[in-house]
This record gives sequence, structure tokens and C-alpha cells, in this order.
Amino acid sequence: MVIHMNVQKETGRTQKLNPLTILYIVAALAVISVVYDYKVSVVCVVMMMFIAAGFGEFTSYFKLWCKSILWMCALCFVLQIFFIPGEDIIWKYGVFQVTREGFGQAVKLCSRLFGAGSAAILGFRLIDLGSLMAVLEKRGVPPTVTYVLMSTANIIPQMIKRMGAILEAQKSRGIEMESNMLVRAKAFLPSIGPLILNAIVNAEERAITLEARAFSAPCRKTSIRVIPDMQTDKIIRGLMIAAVILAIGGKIILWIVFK
Amino acid sequence: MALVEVKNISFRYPNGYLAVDDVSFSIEAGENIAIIGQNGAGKTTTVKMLNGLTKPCEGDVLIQGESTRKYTTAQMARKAGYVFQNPEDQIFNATVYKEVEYGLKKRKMPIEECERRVNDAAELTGIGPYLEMNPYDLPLSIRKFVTIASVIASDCDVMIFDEPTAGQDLDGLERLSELNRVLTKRGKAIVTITHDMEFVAENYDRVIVMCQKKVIADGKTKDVFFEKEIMSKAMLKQPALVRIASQIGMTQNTFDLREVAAFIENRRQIQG
Amino acid sequence: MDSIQITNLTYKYPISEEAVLKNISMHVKEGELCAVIGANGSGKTTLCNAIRGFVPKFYKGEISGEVIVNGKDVQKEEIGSTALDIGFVFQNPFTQISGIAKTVFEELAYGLENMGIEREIIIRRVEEIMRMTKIEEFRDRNPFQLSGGQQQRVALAAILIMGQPVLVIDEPTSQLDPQSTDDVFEVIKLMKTMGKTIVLVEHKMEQIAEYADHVIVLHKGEAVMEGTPKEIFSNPLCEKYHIRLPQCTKIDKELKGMGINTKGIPVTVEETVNGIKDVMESKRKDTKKWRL
Repeated sequence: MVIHMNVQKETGRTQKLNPLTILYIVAALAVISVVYDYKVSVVCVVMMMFIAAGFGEFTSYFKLWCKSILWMCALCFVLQIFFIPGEDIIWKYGVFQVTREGFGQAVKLCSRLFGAGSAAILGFRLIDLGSLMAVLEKRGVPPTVTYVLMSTANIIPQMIKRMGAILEAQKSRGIEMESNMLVRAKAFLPSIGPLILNAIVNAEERAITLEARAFSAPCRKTSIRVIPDMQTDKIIRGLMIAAVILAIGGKIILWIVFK
Repeated sequence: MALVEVKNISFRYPNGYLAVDDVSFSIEAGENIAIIGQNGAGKTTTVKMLNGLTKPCEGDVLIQGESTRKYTTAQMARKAGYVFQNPEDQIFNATVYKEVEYGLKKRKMPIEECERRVNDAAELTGIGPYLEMNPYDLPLSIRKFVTIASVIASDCDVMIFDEPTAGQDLDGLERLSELNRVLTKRGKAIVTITHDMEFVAENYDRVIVMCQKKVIADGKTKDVFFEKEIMSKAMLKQPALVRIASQIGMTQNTFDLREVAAFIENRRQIQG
Repeated sequence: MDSIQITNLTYKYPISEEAVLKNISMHVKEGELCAVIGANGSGKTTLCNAIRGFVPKFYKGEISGEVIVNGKDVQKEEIGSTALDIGFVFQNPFTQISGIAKTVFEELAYGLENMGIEREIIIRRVEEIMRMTKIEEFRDRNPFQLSGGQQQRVALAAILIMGQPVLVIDEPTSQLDPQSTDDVFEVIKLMKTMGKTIVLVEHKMEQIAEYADHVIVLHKGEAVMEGTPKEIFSNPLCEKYHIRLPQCTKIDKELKGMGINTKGIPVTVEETVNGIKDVMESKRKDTKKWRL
């Protein structure tokens, strides 16, 4: 049926699995890669790539990943290796020096960032926020909480657009912004003012919109999203919980044994 | 030399969307022009090129003979003032007075001169009683006059008003037409975007009609409004007077009711 | 039967010194479109908020008098349950987008979801309302990506779908171009044919003359005039209260001043043209008067 397809299309991207299940997978991978060292992190990230491919989202995920995580890790790594002091110098050029301790620290931190960051953007790519909120609401999370999360995600791009309009308005009343950093920094206040005031005015009006749409009507809410929760979902979620417990337990055992 | 010369300007967004297509016109000092057309016709992008906020991809805009390309938007603000459609984008000071004064203080103008200009602008726009109030406590229609006052205070040669008539009541509209009269008398060139055709008929001698990113008519308001084809092509409604005059069989273009009355009397004589 | 009954309503915002609404009494019959007009600051929006119960529940302040909508005292009702009785649409198209929906389809469904309607019924209703309000082409678009006029139509549809018998619509077209204004009025016309009781605040007198059954003029917080559009626009008091007349009425009035004695008071172009044609076809008796 046409109608049915249309509602499904929204959730189509992730309809193979319940959004909550994906959240579990992503969270488990993030926890495991944070708990263990860089080798495990790399394995986890490779697994994420496969998962993304499984959802047919590999290209978009990989692009986003390169633009964000890869850059962040590289930058973080460089900062760390040069600025963490240590005794054992392994490389030196002028004032710059790399120590073994610094190198070790950098690898440790970046591997965590690498694992957790990759997991976060995988979740962002794969989970349809609306569906996730519908599931959470069904599980007893108050609508106010899910509304705040949802509307924040949807309204931020609008605020960025608005910022553009405000910058234009301030420029055309003679506030210089097409010059050096200092000048631009000075222009910041007159631009941020209207944005905040706007946000306050809008928040008040949007509260009225919600009231008009029966947000606080004294009845149970329904949802037009059909989010299937299959046996597979339950099994995967169980496995993920087990994996996290095992990973943390294993880490504790390793720690006790080697201490 | 005209005060503003717009020469074959086009504007295309980086994503390829064409917003203005080969537009030309010129404006003399003391001229009062309305730009009309549907939303999305290219009006706002065109006027943004007048004050240098947007630089044309092709063609050039000259103000007092100088290209807008030579200046940053902030420098252009002294030549061409722009009142945005949405006053919320502009206003940020704690009182109306400070808001109107802001641009002048930025230019390091002496205090007495600031005061004189703010008071003059406040009187013209009727915001005098609100000078010590917070602009955000004022209704939208008055906030719009606050932003208009800021531009008047800056005393630039070209003033651009983007939809000043939206949400105005009769008093607001009367104030706007008074403003137009005073400012043009002072030799300013006024460019107004509006959807209120009756207001255009009553207040502007010249009108520019935009449709699908192009100028499709530029001329005396009277003549343009009586061109049914142009108006319907631009999806605009002819003002009631124009429709009435054409439907009772008048052939001359007029906004003068006395001429309409004379025409009716004449017809009666012939028939009677 | 009266759908809305307001008796001696007086209201003062917490920060204002003077009352914004002063002793207003008015009635709106079931199925009637009642237009509220008046200068800016005359209290029109506040009146809308009072009918919907946002005044004083949302904005606080002091209130006296009574607002009864379909037998219920709005001030005593919970703000949430009033949503099921009264629909509310206001000026700003942007802030009327809930921010929760990714498509227009979901935006329309949102109100019904909050009302706890079953999924299948919601989907059917959304389809139906989209067709009736002619917004089917936007169904999969992100509501934030629509133009102001399109957003306003979506906002009207999102309220219409909830099925309340009474609708309060506050300046829906003041930020729109003429084409979008016509589109919005198409939806309002539809609401009227569906038998809704409508309170509409609007500055565009042509539309009021055409659609309103009943007009109330507010002036500095007081209801100073009341009647059919014709009665109101032919009343010389309009000038005193700074009411912009419909262009046709104004033209006719001025022509009358020049000796063109048309019959009655027209509010549309058609009526004016017919009136003038009648004059042109009539014998000329008042020639001398005019010549002078």
C-alpha cells in the first residue's frame, strides 16, 4: 500500500534492525575499543566499516569518517606527541622532540578517540533519531525529553541558517566582518545577541505551537512509526550486553593478574 | 550620472541556482521606486546587490559612479542603507535609542550630532515615545520602524526598505508614505520591496516588476498597473481602482478618481 | 447557538500598566467566521490568546470576566485539554513548525499522535487533509525547507486535522505575498465550509469583506464596533478608529463625494463596477449639481 510505504520510507534506511539494537551495537563497540588498546580499536573500527556497508551506507559513512575522525585523531596525535614531556627521546628536530612516553600516551588517547568517535558517527549515520525517540518513548522515556532531543537536532541547522541572515544584517549596518580576526571577533557580540534573543522569542512561540498541537493533552500518545522489534533484535542486544560485560570483566581480570 | 546604476547584473548561488538574471536599471537622487513581484522572483537578491551585501557574478552596480566591488559591505553601509525584512536579524541593543545610535557611534560621530540625528529619525518614524524601551518589548510593526530609524539616522544616499508594509495598520502605512515624501525631498533615493499594490499605486511614481529572476517591466506605476498582461504574468493583482477603471471601459491610465468620475458623467450624457 | 461567549473580559499583562483588554463582551455563533480588526496594539492578539486560554495561563497577569467556548469555561479548563476544543494558528510560519517532524506528512500526524489516535486512522486523516488543503506535493518535504506561505498552509492543515470545532487564527497572512495570501484564504474558506467556528485577526480588508460573517472592531482594548462587514465599512466611525477600508468601499465613497451616486455600499470590485454601470445607464438628473 502506498501509504504504508511512505511511512516506512522514513525509517527505510535502518528498517533491517530496531534503532535501539543499533544503539546497543554502536555503544558496545565504543566501550570495547575504549577499554582495550589500539589493536582492538582498529579491529572495532574495521567492524564498523563492515556494519556501515551492511546498511548500504559505506560511502557516506567513510566520507564523513575521513572528514571528522581521521582529522581529529591526526591533530590530537601530533599535539600529544610533541607536548607530553618524557625522558626517553626517540626523535628530535630543533625545539621539537618526541619521547617514548609521549608517543605511548598519544597512541593510547588517540585509539580511544578513534574507537569512540567512529562509533558515534556510525550511530549518527545509521540511527533514525525519530524512530529511536519513538522506541524510547514507548519504553517510558517522557515525551518532553525526547522532544528536546529531537527538536534540538532539527532546529540547529535552522539556527545556523539564521546566523547567516544576522551576519548579513550586521554587515549592512556597518559592522566590519570582511577583515582580520580581531575585527571579526569584535563583530561577534552584535551578531550573537540577535541569535540568542531570537532563540528565546522562538522558544516561547514554539511552546505555544506545541500546546496548540495537544502536546500536553491528558491522554496516551500514539505514533505513526512502526518500528519492528524482532527476535534477532533481542538476540543481538543480549549478545552486545554480554560482550560488554565480558570485555570489562576480562579487562579487570587482566589487570588483577598482571598487577 | 545617475545615483545608482545597475548594469546587467546576474547572481548565481554556488550551488548553481540562478537568483537574478541580467537585471539593469538606474535610479536618480530623489527618486522613489517600488520593486514588486512574487516571492522568489529575485527582488531581495537584487536589492542586496545594491548595497554590496551580495556582489554580482556578472555585471556591475555603481553608486555615485563607483563599483560596489571596491568596498566591503560595512563600508557600503554609509552609501546605501538596508532595512531587512526581519527586524529580529538586526536589533541587539538594550534600548531603542542605543539601537538607532549604534551605527553613528561606530563612525565616532560627536555626541551632539548623534543626538540630533537619532531625534530626527525618531520623529520621522514615530518611535519617539519608545526611545528608552527595550526593542524586544515592542510589537513587530514598531520594531520595523526602529530598524528604519537606524537607516535614516545614518543618512545614506540610497535607502532600501524590504517589505516595510507587512503587518502595518493604517497608521503605520500613513507614516511610511510620509517618510517616503520627506526622504525623497531630502534627495534620497528610496527603493522599496512590497506586496501592497494599493500602497504602491498611492506612493510610488515608478515601479519595477520582477518575474522569474528578470525585470519584466520598469516604468510609470500608472502605465505598468494598467498592463493586465504584465501584472498577470508576474502573478500580481491589479489594484481595485485599476480593475474598476478598466471594467467600466476607461481607456486612459489614471489613478485620479476625478478623472474616473468625469468619465462616468460623460457616459451618462451620451446615453441620456 | 453561540459557540463563543465572552462576558466583561478585562485583562492586564504582568508588566503592562494599563489593561490590554477592557470589559469586552462578544458572541460568535456556531459556524460563523468572526473577524477581529483594529489598529496594532488594540488588543487583537491578546483577545485570541484569551479565547485559547493562553491568557492568563501562559502569560500570567490579571484577568476578570468569562470566556465560554462550547459550554466550557476556558479559564477553568486545563491548558492541555483546551487543545482538543480550540485550534490555534498564529502569525509566524517558522515557529509553527513543531521541529519534531522530518516530513510534512509527519508534521500533520503530530497533533493526532499527541491526541492518542490510532495509527491507521491518523494516516487516513493525513491523506485526506493533505488532499483537501492541496498540500500533497509537499508530503515528503522537510517542513523547514518550505517557503513561509507553504509553511503557513501546513500550519493551518496541521490544526485543521485535529478536528476542533473552534479555530482561532491570528494574522495568518501578514508575512506572506499576495499569491500565498490567496492560498491561505482558500484553506480558511475550506474550514468555513466544514462548519468550523472561526475567529480571525486580519489586516487585509478585501478578504474580510469577502469571507467574514461578522466583524468586531477593537480600539485600545475595547470592542467599539460590531456588525456585518457591510455595516462596519459603511460606518463613518471607521475613520475615527483608523480602520483601513476595503479599496472598493473607499473608491465608492470618494466617487459619491464627487456626485456619482451609486446605490448601496460595495465591498468587492464586482459590486462597485455594477454600481457604476447602473449610474452610467441611468438618466442624468443631477447634472447641474455636478457641474457646480
